[in-house]
Amino acid sequence: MFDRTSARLALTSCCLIAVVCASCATVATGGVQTISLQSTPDGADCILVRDGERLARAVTPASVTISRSMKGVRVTCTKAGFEEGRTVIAAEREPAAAFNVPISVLAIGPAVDLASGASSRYPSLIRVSLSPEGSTPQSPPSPATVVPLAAPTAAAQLSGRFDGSYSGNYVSRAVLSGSGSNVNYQIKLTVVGGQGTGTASSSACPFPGDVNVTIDADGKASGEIDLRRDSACQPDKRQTIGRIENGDLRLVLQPVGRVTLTRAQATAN
Amino acid sequence: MIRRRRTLAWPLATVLAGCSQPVALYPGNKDATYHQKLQRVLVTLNLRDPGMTDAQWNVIVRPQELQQSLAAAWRPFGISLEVLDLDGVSDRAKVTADAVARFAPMQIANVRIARFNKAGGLVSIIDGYMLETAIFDVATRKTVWTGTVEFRQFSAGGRSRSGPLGMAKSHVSDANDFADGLTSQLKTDGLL
Repeated sequence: MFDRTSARLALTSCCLIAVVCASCATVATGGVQTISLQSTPDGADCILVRDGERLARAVTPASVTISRSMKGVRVTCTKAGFEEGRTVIAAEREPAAAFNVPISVLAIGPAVDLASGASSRYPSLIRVSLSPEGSTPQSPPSPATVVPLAAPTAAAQLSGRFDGSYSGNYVSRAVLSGSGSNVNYQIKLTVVGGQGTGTASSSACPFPGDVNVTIDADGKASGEIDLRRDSACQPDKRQTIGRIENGDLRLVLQPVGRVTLTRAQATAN
Repeated sequence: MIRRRRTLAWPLATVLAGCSQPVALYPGNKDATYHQKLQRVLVTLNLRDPGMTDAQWNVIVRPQELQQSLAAAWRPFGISLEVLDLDGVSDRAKVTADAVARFAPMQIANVRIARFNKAGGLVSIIDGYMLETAIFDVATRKTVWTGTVEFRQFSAGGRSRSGPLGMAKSHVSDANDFADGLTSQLKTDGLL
C-alpha cells in the first residue's frame, strides 16, 4: 500500500519519464548528424557555415559531424584550377519527431527537439561539382554546378521547364485553440531559368518579405521564405524544400508548415 | 525601440468593475524616437481571420463602417486618409504598393484582427475580438506604434452584434468605439 511519500515519488518519476520520452527526436537521434561530403573532382577544400558560424572544414571525400538545426548550411568548396562550388543545404523534418505528437500536450517534447534542432535533419550526402576555371560563361553566375541533394543520379542543372508564375496562401495557425490569431500569408513566386523570386505578404505587415526558391531539372526545390510574422514586421526566414507535383510547387517550411503554390495558366496574347 | 508597458491594468480594472464596459483599451506601445504626428495615413484593413465562418464574420465590424468612423474622428486633426480593405484581395503586396505610390502616405496604419474568442459548443460563435493597429513610418519602413482595442464578451456587454439566425447587422457603434479608442490612444502617445 502506498503511503503519501511513495505516491509523491511515483508521481514525480512519472512526470520525469514523460518529459524525457516526450523529446523523442532528441533521444532517438541525438543533436548531431554525420554527413558525407563528396565533390567532383575529389580533393576540394570545403567549408560548412551556418548563420555566420563555421561548423566544419574538410577535404573531400570526407565525413563531417555537425549539430542539427532548422537553419540551412552553406557549403563552399575550392580547389586550385577550378571555380568555386557552392550550395545551401536545407534541413528536413526528422521522422522521429513525429512521435512527439501523441504526447505533445505538455509541449515539452517539441520544445526540446526544436531547441536542440533534433526535429530536423540534413541530407546524409552532399555532392558538390566544381567546374574547371574558364569553362563556364561569366554571366549570369549560376549555382548550377552544385548538386544539393543525395540522389546520385539526379541531374541538378537548373532548367526553364518549370518557369512561370506561382502563388498560394499559407496560414500560420493560432497556438491556442478557441481563440484566433491566425496570420494569412500570400506567397507569389516568379521562376525564370529555374531561379524563383517573389514575395510573402502577411496580414500583419504591409511590407512583404522576400522569397527565393531554386528549382532543378528534376523539379526539386529549395530556398528561403521570409515571413514577416507580426506587426513589428520582424523577419522570420524559413528554409524550405519541396518539389513540383502536377505542375504545382509543393513546399515544406522549416520547422513546420506546408504550402502549395499553384502555377498560373499562361494567357494568350 | 518599442516600449513595452503593462497591459493588464486596464482589462483587469474592467473585469473588477463587473464587465460594464463593452470595449477595453490597452495602452499603446510607441517608438520613443519617433516624434512626427500623423498627417497622411493609408489605413489598411485585414479584418477577416482565415479561420472564421461566414456567420462568425457577421459579428465583426465592417470596413466601410470603420472608414466612416475614422474619417470623422481624425478630421479635426487635419489628417488626410485613404482606407484600403485588403480582405479578399488576391495580391495584397501589389495593391498596397500601388496605393502607396498613388496616395504617397507618410504613415501606414494596418488594422487587423489579432484575436477572437469562440464560445458555444457544436456551433461556435464569436464572443469578443481584439483589433490591433500598427502604424508604420513609410520612409523608414519601421513600426512606430502599436495598440489594441478589444470588444469584450458580447454576452456581458449588452450589445448585439448579429441579427436573427446570425444575419449581419450594423456595427456602427463598434466602429465609433474603435475610432474613439484609437484616437484617444494616439493622442496620449503624442501621434495626434
